Amino acid sequence: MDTIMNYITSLPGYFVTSLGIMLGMAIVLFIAGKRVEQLNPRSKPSKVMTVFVGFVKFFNQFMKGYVGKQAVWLTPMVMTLAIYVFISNVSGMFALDSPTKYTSITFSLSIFAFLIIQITGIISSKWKHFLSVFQPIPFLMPLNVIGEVTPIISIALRLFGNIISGAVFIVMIYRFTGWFSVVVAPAFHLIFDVGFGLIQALVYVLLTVIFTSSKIDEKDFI
Amino acid sequence: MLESLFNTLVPILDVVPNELYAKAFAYLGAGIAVLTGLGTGIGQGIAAAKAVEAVGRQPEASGKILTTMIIGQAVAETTGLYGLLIAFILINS
Repeated sequence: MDTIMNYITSLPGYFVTSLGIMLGMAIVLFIAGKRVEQLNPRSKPSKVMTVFVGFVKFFNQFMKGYVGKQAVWLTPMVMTLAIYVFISNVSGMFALDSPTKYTSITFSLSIFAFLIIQITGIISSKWKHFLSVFQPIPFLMPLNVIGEVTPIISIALRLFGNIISGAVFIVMIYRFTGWFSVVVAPAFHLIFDVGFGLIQALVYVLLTVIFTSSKIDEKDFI
Repeated sequence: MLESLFNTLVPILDVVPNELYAKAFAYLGAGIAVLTGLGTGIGQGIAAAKAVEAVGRQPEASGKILTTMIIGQAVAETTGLYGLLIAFILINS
């Protein structure tokens, strides 16, 4: 027990925050799922249930428009990614060390997105997916391979760069305005943490879904 | 006249490369690296101008136009961020 506590407290701060966010999300969403199952279709639901149901419905509709039949197993993964990225972008405002400020977390998320894209291609086209790099002209194979590997770097660096530049800017504001930052800093927190965090989470999810939808065979669309 | 020019240049090139000299050039390089924001700023400004023009032509579609513009600018911002990343790497090591 002692060595376990020693190990947990010697982990870096952003890692413990990331695990805490995952644990909190698991508990809250599990309880919300249970309560949605017990909803009576005839009575009016409370406001919190309406938010959850509306969000899931919006996501289902959005995914079905892009990926068609594969949305059955893709939607939970993409929705979890969206909620996780948004919460960890905003957590800089709550005096936590935001996980997406570090390239290790961001590159892990980007590798996850890369696996989603490739595995969707494999499930949809079985073995012909590996021949898709030769598709328009076989001469273009190096360019196609580079075009499949580059989203790993670009998605990761986009998320990392936006969040860390916001954090550096806010640290400088706190240092230069001292006691006056009670008035000035909330506006900047709103723009950088909440605003850019929301936009970057949206762009991350949208880019993953768009890349996925280009790997799906035509026969899967209804 | 060329000789006097050469005689003024020689003391400038006569420095001893040491730790402070290397750090000075690293900071200078970091400052130059952030100049990639020039292209990003111009490109995103042109995109916003076209979006405003499109809203002016058809005000009912302003929700969709706003969403598309925000997504387009977030993707175009990546190339400006690459310069910032190089600047961070140069400053810290």
